[in-house]
Amino acid sequence: MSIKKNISYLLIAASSLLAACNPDVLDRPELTKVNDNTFWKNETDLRLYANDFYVNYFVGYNSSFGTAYTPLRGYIFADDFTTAGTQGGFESVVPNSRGASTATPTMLTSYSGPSWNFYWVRKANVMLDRMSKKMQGTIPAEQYSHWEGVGRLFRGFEYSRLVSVFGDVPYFDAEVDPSNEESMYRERTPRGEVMDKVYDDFKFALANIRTDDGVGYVNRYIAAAVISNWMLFEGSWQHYHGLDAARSKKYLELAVEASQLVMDSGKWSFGSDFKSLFASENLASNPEVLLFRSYVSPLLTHAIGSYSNGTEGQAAAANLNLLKSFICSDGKVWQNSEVPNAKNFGIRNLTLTRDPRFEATFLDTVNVPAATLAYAHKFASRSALTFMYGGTYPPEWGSSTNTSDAPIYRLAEVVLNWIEAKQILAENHGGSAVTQADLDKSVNAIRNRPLDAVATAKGLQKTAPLMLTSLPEDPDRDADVSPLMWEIRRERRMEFVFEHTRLNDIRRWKKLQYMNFQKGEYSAGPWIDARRELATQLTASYVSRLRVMKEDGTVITYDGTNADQMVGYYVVMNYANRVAFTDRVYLSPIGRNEIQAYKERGYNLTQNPGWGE
Amino acid sequence: MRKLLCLFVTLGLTANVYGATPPDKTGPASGVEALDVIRGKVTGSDGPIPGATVTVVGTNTATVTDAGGNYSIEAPQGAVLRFSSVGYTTKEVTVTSATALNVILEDDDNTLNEVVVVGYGTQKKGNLTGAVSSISVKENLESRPIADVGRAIQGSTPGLTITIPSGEVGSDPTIRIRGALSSVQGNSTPLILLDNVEIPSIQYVNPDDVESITVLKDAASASIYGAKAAFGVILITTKTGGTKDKISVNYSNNFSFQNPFKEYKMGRVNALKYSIDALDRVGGTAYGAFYRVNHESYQRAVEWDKKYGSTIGPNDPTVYGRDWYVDPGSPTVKLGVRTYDPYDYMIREWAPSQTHNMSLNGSVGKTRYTATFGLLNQSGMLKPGDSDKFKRYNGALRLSNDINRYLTIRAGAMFTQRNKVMPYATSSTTADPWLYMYRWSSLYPMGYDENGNPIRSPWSENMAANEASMRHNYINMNAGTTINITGNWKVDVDYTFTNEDYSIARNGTRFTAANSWVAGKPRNDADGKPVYVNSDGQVVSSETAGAIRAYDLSYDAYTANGTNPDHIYLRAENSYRHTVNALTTYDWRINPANEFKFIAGLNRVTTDGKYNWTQRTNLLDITNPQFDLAVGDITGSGGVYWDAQLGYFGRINYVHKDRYLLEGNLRYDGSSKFPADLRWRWFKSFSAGWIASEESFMEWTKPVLSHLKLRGSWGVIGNQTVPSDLYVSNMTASQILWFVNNNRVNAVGSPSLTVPNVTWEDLETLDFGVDARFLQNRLGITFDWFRKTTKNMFAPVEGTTWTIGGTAPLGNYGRLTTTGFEVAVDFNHRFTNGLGINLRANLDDAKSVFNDYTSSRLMGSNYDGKVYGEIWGYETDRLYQYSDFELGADGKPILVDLTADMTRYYTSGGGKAYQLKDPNGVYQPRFQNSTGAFFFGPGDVKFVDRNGDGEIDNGDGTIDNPGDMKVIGNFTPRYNYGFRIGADYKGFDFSAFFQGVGQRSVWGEGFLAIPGWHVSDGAMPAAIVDDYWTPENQDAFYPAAFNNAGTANVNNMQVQSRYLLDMSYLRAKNITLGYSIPKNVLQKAHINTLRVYVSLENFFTWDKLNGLPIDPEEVAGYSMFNTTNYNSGRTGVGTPTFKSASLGLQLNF
Repeated sequence: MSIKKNISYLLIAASSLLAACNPDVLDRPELTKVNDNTFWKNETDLRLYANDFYVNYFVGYNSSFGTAYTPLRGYIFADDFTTAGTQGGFESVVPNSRGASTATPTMLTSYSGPSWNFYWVRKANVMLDRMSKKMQGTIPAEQYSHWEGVGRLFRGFEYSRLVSVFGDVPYFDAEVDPSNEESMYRERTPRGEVMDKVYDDFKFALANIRTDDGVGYVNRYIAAAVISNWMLFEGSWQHYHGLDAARSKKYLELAVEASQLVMDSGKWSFGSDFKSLFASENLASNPEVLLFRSYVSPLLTHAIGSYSNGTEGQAAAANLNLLKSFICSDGKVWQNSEVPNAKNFGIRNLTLTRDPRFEATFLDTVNVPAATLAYAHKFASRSALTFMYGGTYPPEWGSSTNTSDAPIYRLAEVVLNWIEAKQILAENHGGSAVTQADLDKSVNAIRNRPLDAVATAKGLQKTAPLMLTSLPEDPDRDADVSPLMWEIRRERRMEFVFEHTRLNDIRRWKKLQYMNFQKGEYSAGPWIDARRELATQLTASYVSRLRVMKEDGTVITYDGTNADQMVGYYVVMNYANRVAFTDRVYLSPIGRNEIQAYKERGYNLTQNPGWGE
Repeated sequence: MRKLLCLFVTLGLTANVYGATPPDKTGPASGVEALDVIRGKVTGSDGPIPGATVTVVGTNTATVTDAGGNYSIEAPQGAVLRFSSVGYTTKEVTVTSATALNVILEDDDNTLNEVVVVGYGTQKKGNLTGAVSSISVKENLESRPIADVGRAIQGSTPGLTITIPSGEVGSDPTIRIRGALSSVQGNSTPLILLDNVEIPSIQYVNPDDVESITVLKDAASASIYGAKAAFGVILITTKTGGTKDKISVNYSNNFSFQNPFKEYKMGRVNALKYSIDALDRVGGTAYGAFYRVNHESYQRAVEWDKKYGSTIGPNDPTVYGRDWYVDPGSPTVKLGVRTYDPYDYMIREWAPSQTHNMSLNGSVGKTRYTATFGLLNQSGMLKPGDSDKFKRYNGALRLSNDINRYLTIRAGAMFTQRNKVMPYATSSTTADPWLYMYRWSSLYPMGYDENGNPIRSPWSENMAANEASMRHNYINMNAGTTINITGNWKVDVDYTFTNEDYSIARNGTRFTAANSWVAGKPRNDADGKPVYVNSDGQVVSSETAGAIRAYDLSYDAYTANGTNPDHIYLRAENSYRHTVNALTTYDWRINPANEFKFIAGLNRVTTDGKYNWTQRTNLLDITNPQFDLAVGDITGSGGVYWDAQLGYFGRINYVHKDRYLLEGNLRYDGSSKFPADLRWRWFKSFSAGWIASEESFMEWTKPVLSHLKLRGSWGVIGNQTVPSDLYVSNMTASQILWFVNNNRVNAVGSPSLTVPNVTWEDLETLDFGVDARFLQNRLGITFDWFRKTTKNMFAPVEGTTWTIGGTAPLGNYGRLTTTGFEVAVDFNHRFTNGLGINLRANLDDAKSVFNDYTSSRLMGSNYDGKVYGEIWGYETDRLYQYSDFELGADGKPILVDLTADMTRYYTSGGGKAYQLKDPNGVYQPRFQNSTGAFFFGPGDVKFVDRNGDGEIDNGDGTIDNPGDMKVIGNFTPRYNYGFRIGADYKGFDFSAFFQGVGQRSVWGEGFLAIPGWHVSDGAMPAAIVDDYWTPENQDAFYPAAFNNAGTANVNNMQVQSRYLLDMSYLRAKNITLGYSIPKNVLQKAHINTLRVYVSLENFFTWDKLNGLPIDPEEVAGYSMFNTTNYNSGRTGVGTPTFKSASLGLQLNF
């Protein structure tokens, strides 16, 4: 064995090791992600970035069994609905933390909005920041201003939501540096100041977003619908909560302006029947719908149709107070309507005598899966109801495999925002009085929707228009609400029932006292004759459980022998009013830990009124 | 710098060639020395010793003895021959004139002379200075029904904590060295090296293939492995090379049968009673998801149980009228009467498993070879579907050849296939069959309905499911050489290529069953006439008293086309790794009193991987799921990843007078995970030992104290186990659930928040140890105290609040200090009558404390001084009784408005409470937070007002003002221990091995741990529903019934001392009885050894869970399918842990 061989072995080993030594081997950057430094190049990039907002803001029917921000399943905490047993209460304890930073839509049911979550504020601020730093002058001005408008619209949207839940919130118009305590631990900015910033964002969005950016993408009209909602919310909140009259006026005027933009565009009309808005496989051609969420099986499906299919339980169901609020087809309230049987609260009769939206919303028979027996089929097609009682539902109307499209913004919402904002302005801020023409463009235009074949076959009539000269006289009207305003509010309640509006409406009107279900009509459903409609419950197992309420409020309990007396308003099983609450529940408490974290670093995060404990 | 270093190492390898002096004529390695052939026989107390090693000291010349103990070796006169063999004292004999040299070796019970594998080399156990444990392969790996090395070595070694989170076959155990947590980010898992190359899972190693296992616990011993060794190292070496010309064949097998380790007892009728009690309290009318219970049906269930409870079993179909009925007043409502135990349907009892291993060893000329084969076929615990299985195949071949005196080459290949198969009923990992098994109440039927249709349930879905598989193929190819430049200077270069293929196949289906999730269908006869039944389910005329309208479950294909799991899914991942280890070792023995050893080398690892998956929905043929036979949407994605580490290292060992030991390590490490300017870092470590017993002044202790060594070590290792883009603000791109014209839209997320200067995390370990042996080495004690400090810890930037609008970025912040101790004791003795006994015991503990991380004092933060794992909670006083309250005329407590005299909470918020009798009584309104319907009354939990302020609350939520909260436990396993008793006598051997955790607490979540967790879903353990407070059982352990509706920490179930789960346990891990057939019997059959054994694994467990169906070892939310939120983090809902009984044999011929 020679040394030479040894040398050659070692040379081979050494040279391969020299190759192994190349330190460039350590240059291995992440390959599957986009880098913030090199992204922001063109409009495509902006669109990709902005698309992320959609699923958060335009939840529609959510996905799978998700309930956040969904009609019927998410927005069930309001004075319209009663559950069996004790009514769900407002929050009674200050939570340890209310914070979140998730990008998934989550909802605080009793405030109808998000947690203490600034994810979307940052998302929008980053977009605006990168645009101004990297894209100014490099992309056409039209593109720039459109996307700046989109970014500001979404920032305004998020702050509107945060304000609606928390009132004062720290306002940021730039990305927060996580190493900068000074900026991070910002005190809560007064509500009005935040909303002034939102107002500016909205104004900009309204002036700069394209009028058309392709189907399914935000355009100026969709922005206007967003703005109309939130400016009405804040304008009316500022007014009814006695905050700042000037701001109230300013916001309401923008609500009117934004609504007007949509209404005057002539692009949308009330050409669709009511049910088709909520139970159609495709809303693309619906003339009333500005924006919808499209559901495509199996990638994106929902369960909202299923919970409206006649069989799935409706634990929170329409109470008598809501049933009574529906206007009769002659345009009058039930107490003084001239429609025959107007005072008959049997469910079938209600579908025949009330505004046709009632029939399009509720089954015409009592249905026990609904806690009050008044079952809402608003989000299921008429064909879905044929599978009731043991049928096998097709995926479109069973389980979480529904594919009906969800309307996000529709003309009815815009016009009702518009008329209400105008009326508040007229009553309180010297705005011009609402005219009959205004009503005809809004409330009456809605009432003039076509009826579908089933409704026509049942002989339903469109509801008579609301006339300034002969406003309904509602003996139940709150004294502090004008007759016209009362009718505008009623119209919202009928139009949007089970949708997103009711809790926020009574919050902004400062009418949360409606949630105190003292009155018997909150415990009850429609009028029933148990022997005819609920004979199956006249059995031993329903003794002392089945109850009806007479017109005068006396409650009859079934004792096994008094079947013939079981005629009256159906009383929800084991009904009990919710635990008492105070005005503090208008706003969500700030989490204890969040306040403490500020305090520990010498900053101050105030608590909302009444939550100080 | 690194270039210089690189050059140095490389030149170091070559320079010695150019600089190599021609071999010294007088040197022992001289090629021209006149050599004699020395022959002889090596014998021991049992006769000739085959396989003993004979070495010419100071050279690489070596040989081994043959079957008859004979050897022959070339050596010059005057050379020293070293004879060594495991189990015998090594002996050195100088070659004198004679060429025949017979040697008798003494039995050795001195473990100090054992050679232990350490980082890039070996070390005599007695000379170790770092915290190193070697694990006995024979004691822990042989003749046990265990699937992998990890499960085998649980409890064997102090400081090594192995947890088996569930009974899922094919899953990896979690392994930690010294403390449950070493870094709050990344993982804290040790580096597992198989023959110096990282192995991605310990499951790839065939236990039968293992030669040695060493655990490197402190920085000083592990640091030579650098970048990935921060959390300790487990070194596994494999058996290499036979030494005999004759082929030696080993065969072993094991047949085992697995059963749940304890009775998983759920409540049946009592659970319904609990529901009814909760119902009355909440004011509802019925509970239940698909089958409800109300007052009336509960009475029927009680009667059913009396009438049929002992006669109707799981195989009897579910009959309408008898077992369930429809509420005629609410025909969509099904009411249950019969109670079921899902255990009967879901769990496979005595599931069979088997292992077979075979190895061939031998040599042909100068080539040594080993070939091994292994097979494991293990059944899982899921009964329906019959495909819950885990299979593993191992094959390995290792060759080495001494080309000449200077050069040895070696090569090996190893292949492992692991395949876990299971019924594919759902893709969900947050609610899999095991969660559903214990979600619904006992009214929820499984089995068949009276029409012979399976009833929709986890049972029916698993039965109908096709298979899913998770298959890994692992290939390891290595080649290496050792160049012996001189007798004491060698160079080792090894290159290894490993490739891991991982595929997940999910073959879906659509389910058809009697649909228990929807309303029943009225039953009509052939003429379309309504059918009526009585309460025994018999068809009767409608006029019969008690006749009710009959219903059937709707027999539906209830999986909509294209919805989960109607799809076929395939995911393929391939990752490969190149590992180069090159080092040079130089032994410099100046004189017997001064010995040096130098090592310098480099270590380079690159990893590249990619994956992609495709799914297609809507199968055409559900019995044959194929991509081209599916017609729905195709979705897919994929990605790549890569990283690299490069390190240069050096080590110096110095031994002075066999008693003063010193070691120093230095390593220069680079990682691709950090920005270029922060990539490289020096890490150093030192250790020293003093063998006091060698000192002359200790001579007097010799009769008792055979060996005493004091040692200490200090060192730093860098950790880089974090994502590679921490310092870069990146954005993820993906498809979102927004469709435009039926097309899915893509979106880009917000850029991550980053800290740009992220660099290495430093783990510094200080260790002091004592090794002592007594009574002629028969009794040994090892003790270590250590402090591991994690500096520049990867952690979210401190002190952010939610306004940053994202996840706080990771940087290097704060410090985590883990202190602990380890003790191990062993005792071996053989009595003169031949009875041998050995005892081993070990105990360790560690706790980790946060420092300098945050200025926050909030309980939930990692505040200064926080012990990792601590659980804050309230102290439970007792359950309230009637006597605590003012009672009204009806004998019930009186609900009153809260006033400022009673509490400072909710006096303005409409709060109410039951009035306490004691005017100074403490009200607990802060916990009455189930939207107000819950009021503390008789049977509810009374908490201790620890701070005496008249309120039960958490103060301001900080540790300085925690109100009435305190630390009530810690969820990390503390005081881990194990002990083993072994004995052998006349061919019989017996061993019993116990393992336990002395302290661990868990605040449970979910049905199995929390009373009233979700009454409307309904599942409840018998332990709870048999002992909750009612007016008739006021002495109960659990509080009065209430429905907490799936919400944690509400009402009675605040985190508190009374219901904190005590997860400490002791397990009889293994009990084995074996018998070795006497050699004289075997000789006729040409068999060397044959041993048969029976072995019980996990057979007895002692826990303190009061009969809750929870494994004390389980880790909620962790499984091989989902490591963070498995089954929504609920305690105990996973594959049941099993025990097994087995028998097997070991054969060598």
